[in-house]
Amino acid sequence: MTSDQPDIYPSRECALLTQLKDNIETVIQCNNEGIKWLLTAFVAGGHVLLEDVPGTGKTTLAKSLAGSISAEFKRIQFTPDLLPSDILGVSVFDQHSQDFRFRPGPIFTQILLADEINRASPRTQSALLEAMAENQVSVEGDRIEMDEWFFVIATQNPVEFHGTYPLPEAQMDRFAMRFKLGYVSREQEVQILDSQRYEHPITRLKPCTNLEDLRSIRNAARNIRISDELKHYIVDLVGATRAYPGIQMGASPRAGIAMMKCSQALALIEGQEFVTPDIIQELAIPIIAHRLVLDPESQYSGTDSAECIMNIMQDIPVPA
Amino acid sequence: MKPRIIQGLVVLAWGIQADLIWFALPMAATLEARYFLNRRWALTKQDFYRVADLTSVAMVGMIIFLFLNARSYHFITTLFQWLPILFFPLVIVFAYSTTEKMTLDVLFYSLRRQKEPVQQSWDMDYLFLGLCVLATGFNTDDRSLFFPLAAIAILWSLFPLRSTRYRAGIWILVVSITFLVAGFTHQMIREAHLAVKAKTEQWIAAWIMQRTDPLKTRTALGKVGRLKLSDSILFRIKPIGGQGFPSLLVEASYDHPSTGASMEWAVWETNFTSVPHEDDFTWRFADASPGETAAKIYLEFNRERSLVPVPASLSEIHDLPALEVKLSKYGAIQGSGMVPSPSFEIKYSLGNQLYGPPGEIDLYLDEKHEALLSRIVKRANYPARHSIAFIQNFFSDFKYSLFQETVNEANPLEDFLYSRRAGHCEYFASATTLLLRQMGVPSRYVVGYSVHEYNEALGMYIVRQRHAHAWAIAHVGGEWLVVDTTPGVWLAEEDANANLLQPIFDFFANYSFMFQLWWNEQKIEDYKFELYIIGGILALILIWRIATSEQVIISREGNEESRSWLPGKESPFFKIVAYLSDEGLKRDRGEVLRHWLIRIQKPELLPLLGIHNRWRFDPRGVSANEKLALNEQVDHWILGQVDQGPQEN
Repeated sequence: MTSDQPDIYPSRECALLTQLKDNIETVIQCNNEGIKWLLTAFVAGGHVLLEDVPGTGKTTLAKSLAGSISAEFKRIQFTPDLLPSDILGVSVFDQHSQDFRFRPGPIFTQILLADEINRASPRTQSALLEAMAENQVSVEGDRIEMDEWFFVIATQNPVEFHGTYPLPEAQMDRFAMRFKLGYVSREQEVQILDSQRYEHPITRLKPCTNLEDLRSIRNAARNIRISDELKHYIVDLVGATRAYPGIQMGASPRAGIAMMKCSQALALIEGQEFVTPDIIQELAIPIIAHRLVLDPESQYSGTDSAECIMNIMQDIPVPA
Repeated sequence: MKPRIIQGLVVLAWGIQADLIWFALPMAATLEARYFLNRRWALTKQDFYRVADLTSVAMVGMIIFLFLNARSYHFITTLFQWLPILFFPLVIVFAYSTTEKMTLDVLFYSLRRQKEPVQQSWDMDYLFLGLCVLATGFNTDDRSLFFPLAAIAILWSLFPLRSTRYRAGIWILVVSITFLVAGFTHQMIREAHLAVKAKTEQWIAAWIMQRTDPLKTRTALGKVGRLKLSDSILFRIKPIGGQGFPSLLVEASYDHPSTGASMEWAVWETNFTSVPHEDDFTWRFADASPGETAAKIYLEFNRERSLVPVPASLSEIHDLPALEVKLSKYGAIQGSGMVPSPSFEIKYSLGNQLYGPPGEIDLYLDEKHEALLSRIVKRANYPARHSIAFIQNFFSDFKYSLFQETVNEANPLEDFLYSRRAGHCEYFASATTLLLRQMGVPSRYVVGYSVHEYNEALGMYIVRQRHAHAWAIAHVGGEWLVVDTTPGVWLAEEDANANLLQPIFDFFANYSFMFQLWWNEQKIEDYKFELYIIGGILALILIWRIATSEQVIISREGNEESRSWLPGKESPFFKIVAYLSDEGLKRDRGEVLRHWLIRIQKPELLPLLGIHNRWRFDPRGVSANEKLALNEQVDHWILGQVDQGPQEN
């Protein structure tokens, strides 16, 4: 991976991002593009749903991102008895001022890890909904703005079904990306054992950028050029899911927006000044797959949405 | 959504209306045929620019050509009727390309210079549809067909684009009502326009021209108030060879006085005889004589079957744009079928007489007039020369007056002769004619114009409406003599009456006249050199535009679905793709070039792909140098492969 990186970075922002990625990789090993995609979503301003079995480093990834950018980090463990007020906060009576005072909940942070999100009741899940979509929270009739860096990394365990509430489609659509971290390779796992012999490497993690730099990174991502032809390609990909056999509900236009923003961000991370079709193809599954609702037949015949998207990408002529 | 069928129909309708059906038929066929053909041209924006430039050049050429040939504003009508042909290349290029809509910068050169890409785009087909409807509307002969045609075309082409919120029936109803209201209003406006036009024509005719009737003339005798004639210029006379010109122009003469209270003169013999013409352009009135003088007369206004004002000593009319020229015994010359603003040449020489010989009627006097005139002189035959001298002496203490106060309505002539002793030319001419007859001299009453205002700048005499004049002629010793008893001051008094702003009007009138003269003398052949220069400059601009733009390979690709224009489709990298595909290393539909190159293990091509990708997907594009470099590298690589090929095999 490091051999791919160009010697001269096209921009300062790209260099910062590479630095950030290296910093995170000192803490957590990942065999696929997980870290890159997480950064992509973060730069593009979208939320991420990590779907994986326990112990693959979901929490560590979120923590190391927060630690690397010196952002405020909070974690909510979702359980069936969790209430919306546990997330949003509650007004308590202040004996001194003889008045109710709002005590903000854990959602008022910059990076939020919503662990095992499918364990909470839909009511509690939907408390996240408004915050994620509109970057604001309505508590007791008041509207409270969220931090501009509010970034949700939610995790869910795809194995267990008992005692879980699968996320509603509307909420799935609000995540820009969903991906797995997966198990690391044998060598990497040995390396992990080595690195944690004395202490967890996260304790040695030092922030390497600040929010000011991140702001310029986000601006740079917005300025990554994308041609009309590729916008058409994105729309074609997203649109094809709506008429694809076996898919009950296709992806929304929001998927297309996320595709464009994330491909801009990924192009920046890759050191490109403009979006190319391979970047769009790389992001198609993490961005579109979780938004699809498959027919019961195809569900039980073992097809999954990622496969559908692979087929669609094969069918639609890619701009060359 | 394309306007199918209707586009072809509108083009055909335009062809029928504009009489260009042989252009319209293939045009309509080509436009409609595209719905049955799958092949499209993958053209770049540069190609559209090129075709648009060609259209502009053709348009400029056409405007120059029409302007020089049509010589009037009517060339605009022709231009509009030809617009569909001019725009057809652009339309057909769009119709058979993969591009759906045309951005405005194709049509407007200024927009191409902008840094930001132009967003507004039009559907060329609808634009052309509108253009054809507009061009059809320029046929003025058959209006009744145009309105329903335009309505159907609009209804049909907008139907697929309507809002789906309401049912189709409601939409059709609303649009139909709109059309009905529009049609009704259009008809009302047209009728109002025609009514105003008719009124204006009447009014202008009455103001500019009092018509001269060759058969009778009504004088203003007995009218009360100020007689005021307009300053407008009726015609101009250019003497050829010298400045002199007869001071009087004759329109007609009359021999029969009426007996009514208001004086009216008529002619006794109403027949005209056709004047023989030597060739198509020359009419002879008298035999050629060595003393002939020539002049050119420019009529400002045309009257149908108008009387041609000429000097009484006319011998020849040349170049009069008339089919037939007739002459009456009374010197009235009628040209039939004359065009507006005619000019013609005349020749005259002193010995000639337009008037026919005198008859009994030239001595006729009714009792009432005889009784009136007997108070001056008894009716008898006096020697003609003496009579004229007597009459001129008699009127010598009369005054010229345009203003008439109290008038003896029963007999204005009596009032003029015995009490007021003042009046305008018609009084003098009528009284003189009658008095001549009283004294036994055959005489007639003549109307025409006095020629005395010479314009140095034009080198011409200007004759205005207020120069209209009347006088008497007497037949003495075998020829007609002018007996003008109107006091000589009449000219000065008339000129003093002129409008204060008249010099300004004259200035513009003269200059527009001079321009008209100059313009009529121009012929397109005289401007060959200038036309070549203009054409040369236009060609140079076109060559420069083509030379400075990048070379484009038009790729014929069978794209089933038409897309917006694709930048970089001409990238030479496709040569490598085609080469490798021919070698059996086919790329999948959904495979991006990078993954493909890695799969077929051609990593050496990745740097070239980088430039290609920038060419294709970076809206900022690549520089001309980079394109050239990529071209070279691609050729180099392919050459290398070809060289290696036989060895591997």
